Amino acid sequence: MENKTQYWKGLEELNKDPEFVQLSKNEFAEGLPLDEVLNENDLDLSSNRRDFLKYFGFSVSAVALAACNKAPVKNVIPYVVQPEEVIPGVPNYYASTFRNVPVVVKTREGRPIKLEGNEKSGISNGGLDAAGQASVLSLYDSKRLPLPLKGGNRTSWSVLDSEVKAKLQSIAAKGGQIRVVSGQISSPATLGILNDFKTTFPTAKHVVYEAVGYEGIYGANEMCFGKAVIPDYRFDKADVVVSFAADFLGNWISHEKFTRTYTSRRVPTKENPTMSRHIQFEALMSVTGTNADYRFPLRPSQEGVALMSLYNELAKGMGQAQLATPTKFETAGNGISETAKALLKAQGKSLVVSGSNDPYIQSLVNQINLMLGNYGQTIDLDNYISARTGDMGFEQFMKEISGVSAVIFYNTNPVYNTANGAALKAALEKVELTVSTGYYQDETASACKYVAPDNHFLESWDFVECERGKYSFVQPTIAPIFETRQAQVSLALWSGNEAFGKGDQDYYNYLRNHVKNTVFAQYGSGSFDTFWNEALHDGIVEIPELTAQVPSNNMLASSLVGKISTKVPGNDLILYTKVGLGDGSDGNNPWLQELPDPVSKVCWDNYLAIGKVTAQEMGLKQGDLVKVSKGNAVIESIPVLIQPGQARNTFGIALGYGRTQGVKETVGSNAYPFVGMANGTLSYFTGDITVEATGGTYELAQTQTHHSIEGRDIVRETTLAEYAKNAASANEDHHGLIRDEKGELYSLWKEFDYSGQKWGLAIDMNACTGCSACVIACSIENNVPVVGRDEVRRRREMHWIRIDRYYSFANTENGYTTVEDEYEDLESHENVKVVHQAMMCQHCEHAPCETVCPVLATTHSSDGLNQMTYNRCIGTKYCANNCPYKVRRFNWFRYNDNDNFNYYFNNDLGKMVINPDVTVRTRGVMEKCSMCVQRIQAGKLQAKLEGRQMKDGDVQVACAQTCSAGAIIFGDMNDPESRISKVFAKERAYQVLEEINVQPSVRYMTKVRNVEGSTTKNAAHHS
Amino acid sequence: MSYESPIREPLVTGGKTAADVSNDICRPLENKPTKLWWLGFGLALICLGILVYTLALSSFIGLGTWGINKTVGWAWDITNFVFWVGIGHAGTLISAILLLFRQKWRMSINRSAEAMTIFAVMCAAIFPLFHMGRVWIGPVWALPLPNALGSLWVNFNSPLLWDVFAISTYFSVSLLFWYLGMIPDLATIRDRATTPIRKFMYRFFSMGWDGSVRTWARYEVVSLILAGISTPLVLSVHTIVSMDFATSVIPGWHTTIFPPYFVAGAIFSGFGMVLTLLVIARKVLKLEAYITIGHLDAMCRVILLTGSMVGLAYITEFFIAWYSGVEYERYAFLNRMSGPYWWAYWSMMTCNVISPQLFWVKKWRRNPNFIFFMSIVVNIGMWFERFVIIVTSLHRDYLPSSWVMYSPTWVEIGIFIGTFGLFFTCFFLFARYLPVINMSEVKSILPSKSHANENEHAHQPEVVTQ
Amino acid sequence: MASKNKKFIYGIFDDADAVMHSVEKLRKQGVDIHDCYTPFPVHGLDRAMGIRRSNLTVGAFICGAIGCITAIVFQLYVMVGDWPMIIGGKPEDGYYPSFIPVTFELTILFTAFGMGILFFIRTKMVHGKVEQLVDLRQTDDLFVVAIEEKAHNFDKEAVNRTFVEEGALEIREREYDK
Repeated sequence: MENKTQYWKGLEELNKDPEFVQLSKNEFAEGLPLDEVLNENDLDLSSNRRDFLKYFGFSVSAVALAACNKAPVKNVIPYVVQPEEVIPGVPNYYASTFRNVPVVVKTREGRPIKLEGNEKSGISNGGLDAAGQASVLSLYDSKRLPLPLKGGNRTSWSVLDSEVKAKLQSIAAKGGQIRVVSGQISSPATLGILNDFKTTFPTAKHVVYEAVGYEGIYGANEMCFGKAVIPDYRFDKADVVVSFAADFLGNWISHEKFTRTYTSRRVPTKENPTMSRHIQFEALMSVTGTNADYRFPLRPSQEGVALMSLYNELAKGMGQAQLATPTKFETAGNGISETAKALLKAQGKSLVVSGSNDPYIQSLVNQINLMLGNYGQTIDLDNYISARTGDMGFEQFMKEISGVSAVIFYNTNPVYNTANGAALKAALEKVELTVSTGYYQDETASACKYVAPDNHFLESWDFVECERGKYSFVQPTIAPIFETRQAQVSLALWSGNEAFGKGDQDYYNYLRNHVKNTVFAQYGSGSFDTFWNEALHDGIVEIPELTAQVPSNNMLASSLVGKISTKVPGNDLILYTKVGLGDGSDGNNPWLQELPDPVSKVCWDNYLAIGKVTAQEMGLKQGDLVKVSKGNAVIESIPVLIQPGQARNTFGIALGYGRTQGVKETVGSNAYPFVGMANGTLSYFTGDITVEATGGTYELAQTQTHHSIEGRDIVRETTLAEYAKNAASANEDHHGLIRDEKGELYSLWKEFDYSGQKWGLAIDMNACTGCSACVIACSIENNVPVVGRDEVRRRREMHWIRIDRYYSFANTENGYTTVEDEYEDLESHENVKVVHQAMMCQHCEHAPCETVCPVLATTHSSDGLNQMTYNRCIGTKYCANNCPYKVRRFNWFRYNDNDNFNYYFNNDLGKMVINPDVTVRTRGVMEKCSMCVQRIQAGKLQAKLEGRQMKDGDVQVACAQTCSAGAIIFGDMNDPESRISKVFAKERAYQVLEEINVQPSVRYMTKVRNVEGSTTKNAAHHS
Repeated sequence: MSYESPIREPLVTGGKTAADVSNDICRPLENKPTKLWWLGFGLALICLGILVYTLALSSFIGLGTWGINKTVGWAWDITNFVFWVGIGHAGTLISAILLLFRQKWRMSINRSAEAMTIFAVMCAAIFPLFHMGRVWIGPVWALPLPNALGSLWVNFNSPLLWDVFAISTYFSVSLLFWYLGMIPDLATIRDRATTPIRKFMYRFFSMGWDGSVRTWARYEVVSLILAGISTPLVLSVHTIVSMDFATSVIPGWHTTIFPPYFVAGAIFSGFGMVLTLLVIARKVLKLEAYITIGHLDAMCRVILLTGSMVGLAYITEFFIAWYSGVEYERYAFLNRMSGPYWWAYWSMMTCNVISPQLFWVKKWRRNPNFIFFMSIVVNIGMWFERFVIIVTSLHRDYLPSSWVMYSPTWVEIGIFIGTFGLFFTCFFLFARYLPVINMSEVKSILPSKSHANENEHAHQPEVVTQ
Repeated sequence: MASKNKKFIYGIFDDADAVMHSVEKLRKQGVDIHDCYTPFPVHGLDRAMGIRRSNLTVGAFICGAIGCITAIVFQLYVMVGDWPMIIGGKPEDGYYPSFIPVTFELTILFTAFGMGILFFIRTKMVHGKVEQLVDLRQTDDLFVVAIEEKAHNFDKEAVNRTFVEEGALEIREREYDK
C-alpha cells in the first residue's frame, strides 16, 4: 500500500498550502476600525494579524467580562467546587448538554476549555464522543457570526427584530404560509416557544428534518405499533447482536450509550467467560463492522431480500408462516442461515437492528424482533430514545415552498445538506421573508435575507429531553462572546411575546417556569427552588422509567412483500457519515477534520471507498481521481481509497464534506446531492452511479499506510472457546523469556525501587471500538496542535495517542494472513478481521529514549512517568528514533502564531481553548504522551489539601475519562486495590514488545473473538 | 638521510635535490594562482553559498523543511555526518599509523591527507549541529555546562554526548598534529618569502623555527607520541559514531559488529577520498614526481583490503540476523535487500564489495584514470552504506502501523552539496597558501647527496633501518 | 647568561653526511658542538652531538593521567554526586560502562595538548618569534654546524680544518652581544 513517489515533498508545497491560499483571500484591508471589522460578514479574525490589538482587546475583554459577572449570577451552580466567583487557577465544572448527551464543562478563568460526559447520567456515564469533545472549539471559532445580518450586511438586533416582526405580521395578516425549518428538537421548552409562535401565526408550520435522520425508524414504529419513536436498544441485554449496516458504535442514534452497553457484554472474565456475539451485515467497513465477530459483506440494495430470507429462516425454525419472497438470498459463508441459527438460540436475548432509513425495511426488522420476542427485552418502545416532532417532513416542505412566504431556518443548513439544496436556494429568492438563526454564515444563512445568529450551546440556556424522561440542562458557561442571541429568544420576540424584551435572561425565566409546570409539577416534591438548584447542580433530572411492554403489532409481515424493493442495480453508492465530522455542521472544526477515520485512517478529505475486486475491474488504484455522477448529482473529482472488507460493486462516500460557506477551507466534496428518496424517506444509498477516472491522482492524508502486523507478536487474540478453556490463551510466552519468581524479566543492573505511586495504563482491546474519542480528548487536554493535510501526508501528525488499525485476511491455507505481501495474492479482501490498538507513550521503565538524550530532556520520574522537559530539549530526535513504539512527536514548525497553520493556534479567539495547565510547545522540541501529568499533579494537590492518601480514581487521564467503552484504565500499579493492578493481574494482560525488555507501564488485554473454530492464527507468526 | 635498496621503487623520482623539493612544492604558493584554481575556487564558493542558504532556511523556518518525519527522524543529515567523519579518517590514519609502521611512502601524501581530515571533520560537524530542532541553543546545551539553575548537567549515557567529545577531540588533536608537522615547512617558506606580508604571516606561524637539531630531536619525539595517541583516537572516533546506532534498540542498528565495521568502512571511504583528491592534485600541481604511481598503488591496496573487510561485515550482519532468530532483525535485513529501498542496498553492495575487487589487477591499480573513477565509486558506495543503515532501519521498525517512506527535500540535498562547497573552499585555500607536501620529510628520504650514485651503503643495516 | 659577547664559528654544508662526519670528528677532538641547523631531521645527528633523549614522553604521560582522572571525577560528580536521575532505568549510582568513551577521549585530548604546550615551552617557540638564522637556506637545503668559541678545548684551526676536510661550502664567524 506504500507508494514511494507519494512522499516526495518540498518546502514550496508548504507555501501553496490551501489554508495559506484561503488565508490570503480572507485578508482584510489594512487599518479597518473595530466595528467595521466586526461588520465583515466573513469575519476571519485569524487571517488579520495586523488588527491584532483591535480584536484582541475585543474578544479578551468580552470573555473576561463573561468570566466575572454573568454566568454565576444566574445560580449556575459549580459542579464540583462552589466558588461564587472564579478562583484563578482553579477549574470550575458546570453541567450542560451536547446533542442530547449530558456533559460537564470545565472552565478556567471563565473560559470553557473542555467537555466531559456527565457521570451522573446513564446516557453518557462520563463518556463523550469525538464530536462532543471537539465542540468546545466551535465556541471559539473565528468564522462565527459576531452580529446579526441583513442582506449580508451588519445590522442591529433592534432593526432586525422590528423588520422581521413586521414582515411576519403582515404575512400572517395576508394568510401567507410561514415555515419554521429545524432539526429534531428534543427540548420541550423550545417546542413550547415554537408552539407559542404557531399560535401567534396560525399559518406557521414546523418542518422537521435531519440531514442524516431516522425517519425510517419513526415511520416503521408508527406503522407497526402506532408509536413514532426511536426505541431504546438494550445491547447490554442481547446475547446475539445482528446489525444490518447499523453503525451503532460509530454514528447511529445514541452511539455513546450503545458503545457502553455493547462493550459491557464484550469483555469476558475468567469467572464468567461469556460475551455477546456480534454479527454485522454491511457493505462499507464501519467502526461497528470492525468490532463484529462475524461480518458479511452485503450490498444495501440486497438488504431487503437478505432480511426477508432471514425472516423465512427464522419462521421456518419457529414454525411460523414464511414470506412469499421471490428469491431466497444467501451471502458468502451462509451468513443468513448461520445468523438465523444464532438468533433462534437466543430468542428474547437477541437484537436485530438495521441502519436503513426505509420504513418498510425497518418494519420487517421490527417483525423479526417481534418474532424473536425481543420487544420488552432488548428493545424498549416505552422508554424511547426520541419521539418524532414537527408537522411535516422536508420533502413536503419542498413541494409547497412555492406557496410559502416566510421561512425561518432554526439552526439547520438544508441548502448544503439536502439533495435538492440548489433548488431550495433558488426557491428562497422568491420567498418574501427568509431568516436563518445559524451561527455561521453558512450556505443557508447566506441564502437568507436575515441572519439572527444563535448562541453557541455553551452560551445558552436550555432544557433537553435526551431520552424519554431523562432531562438535562444546557447552562451558559460563558456570556455570549459576540453579539449573538439565543434562537428561542428571537422566535419568542418575533411572535410578540412581551416577556422577552430583555434578552437571554427571559428564556431562563421561561425555562424555569416550564420546568416548574411540567417536570416538577409531575414528579417534583418539596420546594421548587431546591429542586431547581439540585437539578442545575447535577445537570440532569431523571423521572422513573416505565416498564417495557411488548407492543401490540398492527402490521402483517407478509404485507411488506412487494413494498420492499428486491431489485439490485449494477452498483450501489452508500452515503455514510464519519465518526466526528458527522453531517458536516462542524465543518470548520480542525480537530475533527484532522481526526483520522477509525477505519481508513484518512483525515482532511472524503473519498470514494471501493473494494479491491471492484477497483481492479474498473482499473482504479488508491489515489486515482474519479468523477462520480448520477443524474444531475455530480462530484467532479474525488480520490479513490481501496477499502478492505467492502462489498463488491459498492462505493462509499462520506457526507459532511464539501462545505463551501462559513468555513475557512472547503474540505472534500459534498455528497448530499446523491441522497435519494425511497418510500417517502431519505435513502442514504443509491444505485447505478457512473464512476469514471479523470486521469489525475491525489494523495490522501493517511496516518497509517501499512495495515498488517506482519505476523508480529504485537496483537494477541484468541477465541472465546479457547479463552474459556485457558484464560491465558494466546498470551503464553511467545519468546521463551527468562523470568524471576515475580514473573519479571531479569535485568542486568539494580532496578530503581518505585516505592509510592507508579502510574500505568491498561488498554482492553476487547472493549476498544476504535471510536477515536480519546484522540480528540487528548488533543484538547494537552494542547496538541493541528498540523493540516500536507503535514499529515508527510507523516507528521502530532496526536499523542493514535489508534493502530490492523487488517488480517482470510486465506485458505492457514486461516488468516497478517503479511502484507501476501495480501496482493488474495483475490478478494472481503473476508477481513480488524483490530484496534490504542498506542501512546508506554512510559517504559527501561526507556530507550531516556538513555540517548544528550541533555537529560527526557528522564524518568520516581512515580514511573517518562517525562519530557520541553525547555531543556534541543531536538536531536534521537529519542524518537530509538522509541520502539514510535510515539514521540516532534515540533517540525512553530504551530502557534504561524499563518501557515491557520487553524486555531494562530488567532486569539482560538487560543481561548488552550489548557493553561499545559505548555504550548515551541518549534524544535520533542513531545509525547505525559500521562496527563498535570491531572496527576492536581490530584496529588487535592489529596494533600484534604490531608489524605491518594485513592484509586482520584486522577483520571483524559483518554480514559472520555472512553465510553471503559477500554482505558489509568491508575497506580503499586496500589494492590486499584483497578489497574487487578486488571494487570489478569491472564489476558500483556506488554507489547515485552521481549526487548523496555518494561512498558502500559499493558494490553488479549483480544477475544466470539467465533467458532480455532483462533485466528497469524499465518506468518514467527515464521 | 635515507638509503634505498635499488630493488625498491624510489619514493621520489626524477633525481630531485632538496632544493628542487623546496622549489617544486613552494611554486604553487609563490606564483599567481592559475585560471584552473580560480575556476575550482569559484565553484566551491558557489556551493558554500548554497550551504549557507539552506542552513539558514532550516534554522529559521524549521526542520519541517526537511523530508524527515515522525518515524524517520534521521536521514540525510546523519548519513552525511557519518560519511564525512569516515572520510576524515584516512588523513589521521596515513600520518599516524603509517608513521608508526615506518611506511615512508606516506610522507608525500600525509600533509594533504591530514588537511582533508580537518576539512572533512568540519563538514561532518555541521550535521549534528544543524539537525537539532533548536539549533540556537543546542550546541551550547550539549556541552557539559551546568544550566541556568546550576546543576542540570548532560547525560553521559548518551552516545550523542560521546560524539561531542570524540569529534571535538579528534578535530583539535588532528589540527595540532597537522600544524606541528607544518612548522618546519612554514619556516622554509618564510625564508623564501619576498614580500613583507608573506614574511610576516609565515614568520608568525612558524614560531621562530630555525631547524636546530635540539628542536628537531624533541620534535621527533612529539610527533611520534602524537602519532601513537592519534591511532587509538581515530579508531575510537568511528567506534563512538557507530555506537549512536549500536547502543539503540532499533533492528538493524542494534549490532555489536558496528565498531570494527564502521572503522574499516571509514578507512575505506577515507582512502577513496584521498585518491580522488591526490589524483587531481598531482596533475594540477605537477607533483607526479612526489606522489608517484607507487603511492597510488599502495593506497589502492588499502582500499582492496578495507573493501573486503566491509564486505565481510555486511555478510556477517546478514548471517547474525538470521542466526539470532529475532523476527525483527530478520525482517530489517530482508527489508534492506528486497524492501522499497532495495536500490540503495544494491548500489552499496556493488560499489563497496564488488568493485574494489578489481584492484586485484595490478595494471588497474596503477592507472590514475581508473583509480580516479574507482575512488568516486567508493565514495558513492560508502554514502549509500550509511543511508541504508540509517533510513532503511528506521523506516520499518517494530510496529508496522508507523512504517513510512522517506525522501529528501531539496533543502537536505542543498546542505549536502553545500558541505562539498565548504570542503573544497578550504582545500583550495590550503593548496594556495600551505605546502601540500611535507617538504622536510620528503627531503629526508631523498637519496643522500654523497651516495646518490653509489649503492654500497645500501646494505649497511644500521642505516637502512633509519 | 653572562653579559659577555658570544662568538660562534659556523661550518655550512650542503650534505647531511658531511655534517654528520664533521660533528663526529669534532666530538672526537673533544669539542662541544653548540648546535646544528638542518632543513630536515638528520637521524643520529642528535646522538652524535651527544644530546640526551628528550623526556617529553614523561610529560605526555602525566598530562594523560591528569586527563583520565579529570574525566572520571567529573562524570562521577555529574551523574552520581550532583544530581542523580533515573535514566532508562539505569542504576542511580552511575552506569559506569558509559563513562568509558568520554574518559578515553579526554585522556587523549590532555595528552596531545599537554605535550604540545610542553614542547613549545621547552623549545621556547612562540607565535611571531623572530628566527635567528645563520643562513637563509638552512631551512631549505643547507646544513650548519655551530661551535661556540668558549667551547671546551676549542681550537679554531682544528675546527676550520675539519670543516674544510668535510667539504664545507663556507665557514663563518659571528659575534652576538648578549
